[in-house]
Amino acid sequence: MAAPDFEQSLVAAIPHLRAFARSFANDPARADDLVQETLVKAWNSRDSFTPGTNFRAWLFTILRNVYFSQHRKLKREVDDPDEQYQNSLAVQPEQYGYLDLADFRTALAKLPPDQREALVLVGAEGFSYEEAAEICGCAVGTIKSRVNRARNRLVELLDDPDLKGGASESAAEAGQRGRLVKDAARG
Amino acid sequence: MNIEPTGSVDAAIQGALGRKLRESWEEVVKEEVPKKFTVLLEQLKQAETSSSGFARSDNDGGERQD
Repeated sequence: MAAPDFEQSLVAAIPHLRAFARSFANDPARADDLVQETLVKAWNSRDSFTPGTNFRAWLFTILRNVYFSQHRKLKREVDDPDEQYQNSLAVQPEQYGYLDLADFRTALAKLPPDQREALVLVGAEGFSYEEAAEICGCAVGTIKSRVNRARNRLVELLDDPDLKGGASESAAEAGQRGRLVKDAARG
Repeated sequence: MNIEPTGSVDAAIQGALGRKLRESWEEVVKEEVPKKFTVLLEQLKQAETSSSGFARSDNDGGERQD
């Protein structure tokens, strides 16, 4: 890809890379660091991109590699990401319709990472199962089953009154499934 | 009192979850991209033009880290 085209495509992909990074690193600043490193790597290895293939999938693969190479190094010294994420959520209690977006994100953060990744790639970014499998370096069937398990687990989590640890009684009574059904009905 | 959800209720729930997932994703996608990213790309470009390929690297192994 010619340099100007490459740059243009890279710029256009940044918002999506930031969203994908957010599903790995729950702290937005850390997620952006991940994106920056991805951009450097993508820029320096742009000759390895095959024109005509999915550019965004190529970038997502790089971001993923960057994340996992860092993660191996850190040897899990860092954190319980779920806990971190929930702490960061606690300060943004905005309401979004019947099912609070913050509640949804809390549940999403509780999914096993491989399930969350598959769900986000397919359900949010709109990759095909095949593309998601290529990005994750696994079989198409594996992606399908991860997406299914992620969906089922999300419903369970949202149904759990203890989702946020100290959920208020009224929230517990209302029940997330009830809210989901209302959301669904609004359609 | 527990009523087993019917298949269609589950389908509706999955539809609602899907919308929530995309809403959550779109919210980040629509955020204004911080300036540091365009600054970084400018730096990468300049490094390349000023030293003709100096910044290029074949290292795609993801092992470099500060």
